[in-house]
Amino acid sequence: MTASRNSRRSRSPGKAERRASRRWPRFAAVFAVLIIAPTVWWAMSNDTARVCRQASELLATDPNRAAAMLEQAVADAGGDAPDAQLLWTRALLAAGRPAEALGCFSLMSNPSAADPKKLLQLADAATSSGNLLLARFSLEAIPANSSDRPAVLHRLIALSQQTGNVGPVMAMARELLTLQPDNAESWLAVAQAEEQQMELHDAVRSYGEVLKRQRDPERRAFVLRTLVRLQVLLGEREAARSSFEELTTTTALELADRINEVLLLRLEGETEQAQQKIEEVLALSPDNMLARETHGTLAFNRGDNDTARRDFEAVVRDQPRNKQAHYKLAQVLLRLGHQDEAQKHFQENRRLTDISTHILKLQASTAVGTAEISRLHELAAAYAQLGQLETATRLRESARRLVPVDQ
Amino acid sequence: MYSDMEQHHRFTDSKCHMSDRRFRLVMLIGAAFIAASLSSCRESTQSTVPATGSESLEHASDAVATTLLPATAQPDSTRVRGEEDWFDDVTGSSGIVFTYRNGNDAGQFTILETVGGGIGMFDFDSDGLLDVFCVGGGTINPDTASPSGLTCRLYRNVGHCRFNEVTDHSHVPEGTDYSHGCVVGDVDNDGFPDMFVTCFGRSCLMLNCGDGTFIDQTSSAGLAVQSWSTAAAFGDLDGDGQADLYVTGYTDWTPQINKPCRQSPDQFADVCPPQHYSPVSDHLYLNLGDGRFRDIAEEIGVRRDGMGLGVLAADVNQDGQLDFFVANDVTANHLYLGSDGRSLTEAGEVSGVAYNESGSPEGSMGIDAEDIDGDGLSELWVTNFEMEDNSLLQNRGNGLFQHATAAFGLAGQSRVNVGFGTGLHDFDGDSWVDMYVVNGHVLYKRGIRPFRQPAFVFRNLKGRKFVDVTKSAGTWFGVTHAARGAAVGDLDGDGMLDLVVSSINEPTAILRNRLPATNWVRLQLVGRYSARIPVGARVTVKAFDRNCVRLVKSGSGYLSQSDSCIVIAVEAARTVVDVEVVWPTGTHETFAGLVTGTDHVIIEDSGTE
Repeated sequence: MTASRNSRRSRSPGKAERRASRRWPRFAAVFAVLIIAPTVWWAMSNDTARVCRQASELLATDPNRAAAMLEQAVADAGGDAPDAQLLWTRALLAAGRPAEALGCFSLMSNPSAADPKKLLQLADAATSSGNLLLARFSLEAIPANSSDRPAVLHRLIALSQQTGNVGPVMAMARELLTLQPDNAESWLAVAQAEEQQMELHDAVRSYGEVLKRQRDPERRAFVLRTLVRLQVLLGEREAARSSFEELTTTTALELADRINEVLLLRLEGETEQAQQKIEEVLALSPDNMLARETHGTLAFNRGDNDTARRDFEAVVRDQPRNKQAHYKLAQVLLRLGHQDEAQKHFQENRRLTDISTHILKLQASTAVGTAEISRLHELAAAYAQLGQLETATRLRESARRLVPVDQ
Repeated sequence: MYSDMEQHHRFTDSKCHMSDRRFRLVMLIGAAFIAASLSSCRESTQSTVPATGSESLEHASDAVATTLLPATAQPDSTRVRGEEDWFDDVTGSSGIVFTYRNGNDAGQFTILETVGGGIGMFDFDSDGLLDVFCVGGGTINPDTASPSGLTCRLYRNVGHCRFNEVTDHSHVPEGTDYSHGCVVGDVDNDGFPDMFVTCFGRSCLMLNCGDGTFIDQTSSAGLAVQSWSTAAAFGDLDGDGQADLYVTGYTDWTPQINKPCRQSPDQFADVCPPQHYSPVSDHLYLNLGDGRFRDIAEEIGVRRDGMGLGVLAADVNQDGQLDFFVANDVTANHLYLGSDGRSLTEAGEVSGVAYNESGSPEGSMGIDAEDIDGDGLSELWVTNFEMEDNSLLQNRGNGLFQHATAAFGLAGQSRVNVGFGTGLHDFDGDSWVDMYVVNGHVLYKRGIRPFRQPAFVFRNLKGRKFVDVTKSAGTWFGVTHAARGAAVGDLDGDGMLDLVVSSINEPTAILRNRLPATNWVRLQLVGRYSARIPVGARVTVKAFDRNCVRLVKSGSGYLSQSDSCIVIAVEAARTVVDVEVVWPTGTHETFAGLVTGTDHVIIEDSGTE
């Protein structure tokens, strides 16, 4: 066969030359494929990385320009540049264009393929700018088997608590505890989730586990404060006293601690000591309305109706939607013989109680989609009626953030 | 005196098993004589049938809990009977073999099964010994959630804390609906205590025929109303000498609208709270004196917004008029203050008893009233839902009450539990009323604490504070229970008060007070111009250098009837005491020189004014 070919070549050399000349484009094509294309690709991706670097530097100073550069880079890459797309999303966030940022992120065909660290960065940026939905999406894009899972869980838990969607928190906190069983922060997440779900006994136990692992005095003080509050709430006198004593050796007492001490003394039946302590609190902070109300309650209980009236009137003036202050004022007014005035405050207590009952019913109900948005708005309106404007605003924000999901 | 009492006999006994009126009169006189025959009356001389070992075994097998309930908490292994214990659990030897069934094994998670049942402690056969009536409860159809009643049981005291079941012999109706509570009153003033059993469906008036049997008089009395009735109390509202009847209604739940509640679709099912339903009206039946009753709740202005689980009839504001205090679940408590005639004024809010200290309604269940602090005014006491302190409402006079739970050292005590049966009684014989609280959750899984919960006994420290003495209360208190109703009375005639507790799907417990007997007097008040059982009367005995005040009341506790006799401890050296009585008619009388350590029948208009 070879001999035959050679003989053919020898017979027609011009033809061979022609053939050789025809092979040149093929070689060129192969060369292009093997050498030039990777080089171009390398050059282009290098260009994307370069653009990303440049855009990163511009994020703080000129996020709009950074966004434009990244948009072009993503387009140049045929839409397949996940890191650039993440950065573009961040740029849009920094430029104050949250809806576009969310849209940009949702255009990613496979966000889970992106670098988990960069997804975390995006989540943090979204959280800081209040775009909690984007934060959640970016965190949820990180694969569950990622080594960054604990960081993801911490952030998801914080997000859920921020949005009031505490349902999934417990499962996440328990997963976190499985991943980091000896970590104080894992136990703290579990404790807080239990507290939110009103599993107060479990929460107290978990806070105790935090204390076993937490050495930082500030964090310990935070946990001890929470424990005192919960143990007083549960009526656990001895445990609350023990936590309070430890708190006093851990940190300087804050005003809230001193008020908790008064409540603890009352729980212990030591009303005279409670009286003395609340006087001290009021001397430190005469405008503290919780202290003022507690002072009034103690006065009312010992029959000092004039003092109680002054205290409750001060609270009602400062907090006109404080239902229990209205109720207590009504009672003391009755004792002082001011029946008509008392009735007004009884009536206000009833009105505010009805709103609270309505809130409880709304909180107990669940809804999805637009019904959930309506529920959140209704809750917000009820909280606003109670004067809890921060909660109302937070709920309205949560409702607002749900809109894009429905759309 | 008996001829006067005979004036009250306006009920026909034609339906009773003994139709001979003369024989009944003889029986009445004989019974009253027996009751008045002082000390010998507490230990029956009749032949007794002691409980056998087989009964105890039967009792044990009855204790098997239904599969749906969480396992009974194991008793504290270190908890053994102590020498200082207040109560001995004598259930096994008592002959009372009874378990209240709530039908939860149907798995329908009905709110009906959360209510539980009560105990009646009264001397139905007038032999001087307190008998025990156990409300039956019922079953629930696993497909339709429809309830059916189980037979209530009556146990006759044969002395020494032993009982014989006489359910069949006494003709306790077998066909009652799903039952909850019982209250005892003498609706025909014949000297034999009658009984009203509250049910989901048709509650039941059981007239005591005086011969050891009862007859169902519900329909002829005009009480055959289909409703969900829970607690009840007798008391003479209009001052005609007849016992009227207050019955609380709970919710409008029906099997047709039953569904379990879940926190989320993937979570376990549990009972829906009462907020899912609407309240149903209470009933206030006026005793017309001819065997019939008429519901005057609407015309008298009984509120329709309460979910009643407890009611107490007594004169709580010392104005000589009968009052009704109603404990409502998740809605405001109601205090109906009586006035001349048959009118009632609801004053819960203005008197300070409607809400908790912060002005919010609570889930109130058990209820009682007595003078706790020794000032002669009656405090009110209410058990509440979890995370709500039980409420001690101190009487400040002029119809005003003040939350004093914290001041009496009771804040936080039992806060995490769901309080049901309760009562203010002097268990330790120091003349100050102590307190028991039995608990149990209504939710199987969703509560802060488990379904079965500990019970408590608090000792009154001379009217200043209560201290928790549960650790010394006895072995029964060392185990958790799903307890509901309970009744108090001196079952063995030793002058110390015993306790009978009904728990859901657990054997009814007989707890004998084993503290050393002190000196005492036991007083049975008999009205002549007042109703035969003079609910609303106040008794004062000077002892321990103070006036010990006790109320004649009806319907206190939870769904239960404690002994209406009053036991007051006096100094050991005292041989006689003087007793002052303010009758519901307003008459003040003194009964001087009553011998201590024994029973006395105090008859209206036979003392000195």
